[in-house]
Amino acid sequence: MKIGIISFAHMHAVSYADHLTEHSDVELTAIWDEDIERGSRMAERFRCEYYSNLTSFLETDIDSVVICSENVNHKEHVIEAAKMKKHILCEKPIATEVNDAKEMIRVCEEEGVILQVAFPVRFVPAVQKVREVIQSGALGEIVAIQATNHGQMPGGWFIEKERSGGGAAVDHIVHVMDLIRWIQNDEVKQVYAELDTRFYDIAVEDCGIVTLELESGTIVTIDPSWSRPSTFPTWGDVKMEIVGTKGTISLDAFKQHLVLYNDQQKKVQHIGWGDDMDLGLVNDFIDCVKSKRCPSITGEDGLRTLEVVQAAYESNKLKQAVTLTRI
Amino acid sequence: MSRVAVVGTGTMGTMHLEEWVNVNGCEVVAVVGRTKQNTTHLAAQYNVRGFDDLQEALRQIPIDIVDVCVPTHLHEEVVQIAAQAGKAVICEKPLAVNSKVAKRIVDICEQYNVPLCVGHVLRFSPEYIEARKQVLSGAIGQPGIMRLSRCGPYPKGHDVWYNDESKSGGIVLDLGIHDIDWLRWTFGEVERVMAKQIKRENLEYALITLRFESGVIAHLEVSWGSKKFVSSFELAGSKGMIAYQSRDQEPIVLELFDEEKVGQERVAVPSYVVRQTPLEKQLQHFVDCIENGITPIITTNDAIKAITIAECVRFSAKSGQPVELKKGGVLK
Repeated sequence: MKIGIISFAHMHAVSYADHLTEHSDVELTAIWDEDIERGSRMAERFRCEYYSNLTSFLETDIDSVVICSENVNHKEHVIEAAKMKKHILCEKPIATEVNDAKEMIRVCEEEGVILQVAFPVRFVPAVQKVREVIQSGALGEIVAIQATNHGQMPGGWFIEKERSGGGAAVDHIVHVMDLIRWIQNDEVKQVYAELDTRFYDIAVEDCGIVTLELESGTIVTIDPSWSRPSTFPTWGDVKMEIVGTKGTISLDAFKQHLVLYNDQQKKVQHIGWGDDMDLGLVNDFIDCVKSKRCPSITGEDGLRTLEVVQAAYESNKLKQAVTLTRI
Repeated sequence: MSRVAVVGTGTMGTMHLEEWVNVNGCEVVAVVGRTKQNTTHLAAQYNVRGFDDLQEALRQIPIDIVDVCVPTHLHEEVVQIAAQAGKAVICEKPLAVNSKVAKRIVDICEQYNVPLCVGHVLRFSPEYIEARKQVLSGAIGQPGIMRLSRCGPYPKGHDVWYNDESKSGGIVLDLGIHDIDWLRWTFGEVERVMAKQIKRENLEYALITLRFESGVIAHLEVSWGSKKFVSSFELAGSKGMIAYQSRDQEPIVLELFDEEKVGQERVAVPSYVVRQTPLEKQLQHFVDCIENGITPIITTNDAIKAITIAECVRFSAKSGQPVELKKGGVLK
């Protein structure tokens, strides 16, 4: 099976490319990138063809594509790829506008191609274990979830609204939002958010707290802040404190790490040793394409999380809680 | 030498009695409680007089300070008796179940011109003092987002008064007020709050967002339902972050192979391995203030404002919408 990568704008592309080249059933044959220098460099690194023209790239005999372009370009790239009958693994967030996401899902359905959204955290074994424990009913009714997806400020296009669609809220609400929906089989009923730019002199928000109520009545907060200092020992975190009527469970998805006291970089660093979540995601996508099954993470999963992001912005503007209705 | 009467023989009264022994310039002379068994026991243990009625105690022996450790909804009644008798008052937090009653308590103490010291023990807790000092000295740059958490076992007080919100104010007022006061002490007045709360059998839990006039955002998790007492904070700013997790700060770990399971009888509190506990420091500060006519570092206004913020939090949890506070931290 041949596969191509659309853009290395998002740094996850490198990790995905690594795993694709390691997979025995897959051949990474083509890379398209708007940035000629970056695209050529990556094509050389992964020993495949570089295309500066997207149409020529899509006309090759690749079966599927991994899309890691800037958030606002996801829509165009997904639709173009779908129309050329390519199966798609799209980096999160699915899009920057709810209507764009809907259109992307519709086109992929019409063209009969798989659209999977990259929520790799689902492939962290500890996350899967937490889901198992909760779905077993061992914790009783889940009444509250406190979640964080902290990060360091990523810079680059991530802080240019025209390309990212927004700051920390766009970047870091969707991962944990997806986990909560997946673990709980529940949808969001109400959203409130306090967002602000308090850490950096940038034009997008860098911190905030999102308060949710799920349809089941479970109360939730998500902290998507880019609040990790540059001296923080790792990029950030994914953590959840889940409270049930019979017990609680705490998740620290990247707890499995060594501590490196690095005199050379004058820094203390966490060196993760847990299972590679990107590998899990890539393998799942390949399996999905090969067996022609439904993707484990659908376009709708992407859409639902995006709706929460948009509602968070609206709520922050109105200073009111916003109600979501299931479509 | 000030003479102290401790009123209340539950968890807090017992803890105060333990600490009073170490406080200089005063002595406990009486313990007052409705539960005869407790009163008799504690009076014997500390070799002081036991009474079932404060007025009776005030009539019979000379008392200078009344230390109020009764359940929250009974504070007003006890403070009133003490104030009318012209005695200095030390009162456990929260001062009252709502800001209206809190103001009445403050008024009555002013009317009878007696000092009123409200115990917000975080102001005497070394990790919270140090964190505040660091923040104010600019260690984290411009304060951005604060995460605080305070979780403990479900309190099993006498008469189960804790789970009656009209008596305790529930988890937000009884437990959350610690962090609310510390946040206000450190970051100034609150502009807006949003909260969600859960109440089930043997479980109360709330997730609270506070937005300060300075722009600071704080997130506070409070829980009655965890097995052990844990508190934590993470204070992030433009130039750094301070992190604290009580679980990771115990300098001694003791494990007994044949330890029997002990039932949860008292309300759990954090244990410190320090020379002087926060509660002891607090009581010493209050005694010193009372003797020298100085205003304590927590004023009656601070106590009222913390309750007002907690009220807004509770209101938000009920209404499902954020609640704006007036400038100066008063409910609109």
